[in-house]
Amino acid sequence: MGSISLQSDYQHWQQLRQGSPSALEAIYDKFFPELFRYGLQLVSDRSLVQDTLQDFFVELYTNAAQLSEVQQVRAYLYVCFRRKLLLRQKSVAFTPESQPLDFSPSPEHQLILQQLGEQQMNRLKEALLNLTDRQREAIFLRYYQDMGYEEIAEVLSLKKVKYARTLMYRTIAELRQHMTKHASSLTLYSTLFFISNRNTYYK
Amino acid sequence: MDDQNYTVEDLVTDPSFVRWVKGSDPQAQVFWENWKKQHPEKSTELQEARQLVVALYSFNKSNVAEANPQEINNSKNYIQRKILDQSAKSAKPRPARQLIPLTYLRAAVVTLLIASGLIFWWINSASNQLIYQTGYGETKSITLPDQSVVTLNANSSLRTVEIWQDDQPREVWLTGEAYFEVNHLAESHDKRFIVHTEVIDVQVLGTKFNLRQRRNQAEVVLAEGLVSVNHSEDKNYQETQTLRPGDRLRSQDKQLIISQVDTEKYSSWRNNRLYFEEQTLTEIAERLQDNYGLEVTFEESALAELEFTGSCPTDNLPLLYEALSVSLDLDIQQRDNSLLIRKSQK
Repeated sequence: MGSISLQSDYQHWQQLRQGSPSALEAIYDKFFPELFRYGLQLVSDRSLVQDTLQDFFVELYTNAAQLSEVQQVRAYLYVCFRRKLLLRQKSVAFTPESQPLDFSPSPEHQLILQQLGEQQMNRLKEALLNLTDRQREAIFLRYYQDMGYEEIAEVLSLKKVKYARTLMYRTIAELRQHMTKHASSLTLYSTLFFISNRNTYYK
Repeated sequence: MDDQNYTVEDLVTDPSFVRWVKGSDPQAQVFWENWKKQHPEKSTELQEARQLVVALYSFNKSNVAEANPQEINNSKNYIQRKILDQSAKSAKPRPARQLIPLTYLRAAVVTLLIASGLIFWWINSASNQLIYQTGYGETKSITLPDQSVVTLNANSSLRTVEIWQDDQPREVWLTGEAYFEVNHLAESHDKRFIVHTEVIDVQVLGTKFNLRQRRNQAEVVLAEGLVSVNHSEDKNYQETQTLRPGDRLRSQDKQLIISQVDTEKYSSWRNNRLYFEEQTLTEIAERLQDNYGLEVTFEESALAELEFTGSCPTDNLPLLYEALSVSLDLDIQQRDNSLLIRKSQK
């Protein structure tokens, strides 16, 4: 996935380093929305995110000549923007404000969520709250922003790509543990509920 | 990895598996549908992994907030304004002067003398103006001191000074029509490139655009990059307009009006093609007069309002006459430099 888009990110980056305003525009059009979304996961102040992001793009252009050659343009943008946002807002935590589910998943996904069941969903939500900020951020980057492990490693300043993979593996294991731990101390009602769905939950 | 030992965690952390669940990758689809068939014993793990991926995606989805189109647009305008402002100021300040030891004074005096000679020569030659001109039906390509290339269309002229200074904006004065391919300069220079015309001034970073100024009207069509435009009289840049690629700006009376166009067509003359799109015969006649010095007369004034779409090579006007005659049922006769257009006599 994305080998074409990666290549053109790289090309735009090279052009930007030579001071091309249209390359900046291409990068802006592609990354502004997702960086904005990412920023809002880090801090809740919407205008702070917008202001920081604006200045970030202006600086990208004015410092174009000093920009280094990077292969992972997307991850690089995330890292720099994150740092800038961190400087402006002293406490950055990956604890997005929880909102009610007001979106509609695709019919297929809806079906899968139904199979998972409301109780398990709530347990999973609870488990997510028990994770560290870093783990939650990794999950956001991986499952929502579709980032690969190379990019995640860079954004989270992990020295090796495999650390990102390990972090994710451990996180998923923790989530599952939390879900089954609670499942074992269930009331009769929910036990019955689970028996009726047991092939879904137990090996 | 050994398929037999695939755990739920393995599946959930596999990017290709995630893409399959999200349905975003046909290749992953083929692989995992196949895998599912070959490993019926793993159906429980598969099921659980799938639920987890969907749940994780959905939870995040319910938490994200997006930038709205207005925010995206406002920020973009802000950034473009800032960039133009800063590039105007980006000429590097000269390094601060240092104290010179007395022993070097003599050398300094000599250097000063030579330098002042140089400066004198520089100022002198800088005031030397360069003027490029084209006649009717002629185009010319000019390379400026900064290696920017200007292609002059017919019956046009471009004026500039012979030597450009690093800390000054590059300035040229145009009458007529030209296509600009402006070089982007290094950090230490004043990056502005300004094209002055009678009606408007165009301020540029590195970019490609077509500029036409005829009959007290001007038109800028931007192919690449970023330019800002203001009325020549608006010296304080009160009402500056910023153009994006694909934009066409026209000056109409005192207003600057922007629309979106196919930029290629506006610079087609560089490839020796005249191009008209839903243009009135009046506009075409003006073009013929501007570029070829032809005087066009309409037998009936109503004819001038007819519209035409089409193109022809710039050196084959008879073909244009033929196309006009056939499509609009006209009779066109040329005698020397005058052209008579009337209804078909058949």
